[in-house]
Amino acid sequence: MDTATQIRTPSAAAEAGIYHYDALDHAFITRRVEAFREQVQRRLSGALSEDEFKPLRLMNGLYLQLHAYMLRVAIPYGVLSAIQMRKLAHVARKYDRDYGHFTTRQNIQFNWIKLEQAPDILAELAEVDIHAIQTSGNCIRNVSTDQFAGAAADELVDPRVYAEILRQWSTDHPEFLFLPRKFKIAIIGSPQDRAAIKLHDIGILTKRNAAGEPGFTIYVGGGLGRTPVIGSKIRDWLPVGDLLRYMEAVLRVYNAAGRRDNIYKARIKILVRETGAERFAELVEQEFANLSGDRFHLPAEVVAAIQSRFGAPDFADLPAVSPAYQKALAENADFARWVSTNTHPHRVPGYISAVISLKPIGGIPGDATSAQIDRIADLAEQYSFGELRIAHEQNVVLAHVRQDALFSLWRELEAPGIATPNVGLITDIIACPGLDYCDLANARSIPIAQSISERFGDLDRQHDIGELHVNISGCINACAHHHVGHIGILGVDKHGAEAYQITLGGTADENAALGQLLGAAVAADEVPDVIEGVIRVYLAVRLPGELFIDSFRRVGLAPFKQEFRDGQR
Amino acid sequence: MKLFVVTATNLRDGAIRWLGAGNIWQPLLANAQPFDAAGIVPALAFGAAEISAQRVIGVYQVEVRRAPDGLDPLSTRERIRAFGPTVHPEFSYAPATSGLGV
Repeated sequence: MDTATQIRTPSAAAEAGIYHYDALDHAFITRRVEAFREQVQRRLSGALSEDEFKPLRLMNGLYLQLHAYMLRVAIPYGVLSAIQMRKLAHVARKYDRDYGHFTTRQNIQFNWIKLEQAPDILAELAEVDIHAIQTSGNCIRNVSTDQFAGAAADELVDPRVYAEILRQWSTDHPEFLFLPRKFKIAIIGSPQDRAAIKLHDIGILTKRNAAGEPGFTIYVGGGLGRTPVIGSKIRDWLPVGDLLRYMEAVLRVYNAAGRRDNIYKARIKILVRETGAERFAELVEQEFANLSGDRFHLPAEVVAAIQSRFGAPDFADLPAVSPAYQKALAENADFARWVSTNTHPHRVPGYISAVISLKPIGGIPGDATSAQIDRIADLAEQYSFGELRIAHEQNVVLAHVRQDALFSLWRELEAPGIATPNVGLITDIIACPGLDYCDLANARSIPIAQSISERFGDLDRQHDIGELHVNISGCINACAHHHVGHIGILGVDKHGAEAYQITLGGTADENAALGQLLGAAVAADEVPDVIEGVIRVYLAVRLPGELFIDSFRRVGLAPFKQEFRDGQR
Repeated sequence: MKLFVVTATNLRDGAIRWLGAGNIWQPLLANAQPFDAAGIVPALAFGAAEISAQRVIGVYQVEVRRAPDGLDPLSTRERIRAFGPTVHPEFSYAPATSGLGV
């Protein structure tokens, strides 16, 4: 099947911001649900062994964790409708323990799933165009992007259309379902990288050339985990028409040359590092040349057709500044504080993007109850054209809110407990499920996040500290991206006990950097005190208005290390 | 003397199981049968047969100690499996009166 037919040309009108499935999409995921139902039946009857069944369940997002099966549901590039959000709440209520966990790859996980009910869950999700395909396994995973895509004031190109094209291309791609290892792609359309593209197997920066045409810069070989690597640029400019051809070339080189003999050396980052980025780029270009012709060309009309299925929100013609909004800001300090952290500038005059924090003080990062999920869906319909995004920081975004309605939205967030004004601050902690749930973890993450959140919960204090990203992973697999946290915390097993290594100075943005180790691992109850020491040094050295990461870059690790050593004595 | 219990995961719902007296799978560690190093061998063999019978998966032994309130796994991981996620007390597997927990 060539690319032009593999990517279906849509026809139906779309609602705002949501890509809508056509009959082929529906038929595909319905077939997958029924195939999985049959596989589950064969497993329960004993016709399939666990070894035979495991890769089948993983390809449908079903893991086996410490306490139960866990279902990871794909939210393509983090965008979903209010209707889809309500279905997630329904799954949490009917099949789980009344909550879901939003992940660092813009998906949602349900932690208490029964195998025998998994096909029914997938069938219910398919009713609203949601599935769990390729949320696990050695295949191309959910493509992630900027949570403000299509809304951000600084955006040059809306990356969602290309994320959707990549989703269609990679879903059930016969050549890339059994790669040496899992494969993650992120795409951004703004110069400010909010999708951590340099930390993905392929990172795509969408931009425009001098003629205003969209195109891409390609990075490969980024990744965290056991061997953290910042991705290397291998193509500065790739025309839109060549996107899939180039993706095919990168994946083919990796599929052929990536190691399959050692799981720890199987990711593309190891291949790129061992080959050398320059040589790897040459290999890709050779493969790219071999793929010439129409088969892998991405026609402009297909791009336009996909774009049309997203449907633009029906923005009102508003003044750039709303007097009502300005008045509310001036009269209500709590609202102004929430706005200062939980909003992002919109490209359309009179609109703003609102971030709903799923990080209440002392709470579990990324968890939301079914009631909260339902309420957020209601608010999306009321305030943001019925569309939501899941941020990789484990928060929820209402992307298109009228400025003159923002005060009203803010007041409605209080009752369901989702009004915490802490986005980007020290209590907006990114954390994996850790040893409380995860079969791979060495240590717990969530209780550490809770203890830091409680220690720094005072709003005046955390706003005074300013922007500071804390990432906590329960093992070296780095699901919470601890290597790139301003403060990174890694749970390790130290002689049978949980202990935590702390790094400083990591960043996941366009200046991506890996954190530097502060010192030896400390016990769980020491972590808040160590973080306290880090903050003490920062507040002592910072210049007026200087953010933590900028102070760290200016003064280096030494003063923080000295404080740590003094604290350990 | 080292003490062990046998644990597994129930195939149908993924719930944790502990091998109890009479080779009956139990949902609570409190009802598990402790074995010494010699006794664990036939218990694991029974577990392997249960895998073949498609009732459980992932059978293995867990080292425990006797605590005032009952059996207590030595590792944090197994204590979390035995007593529930520490961040959701309402999902605890241990009786509320027990001092066991992580």
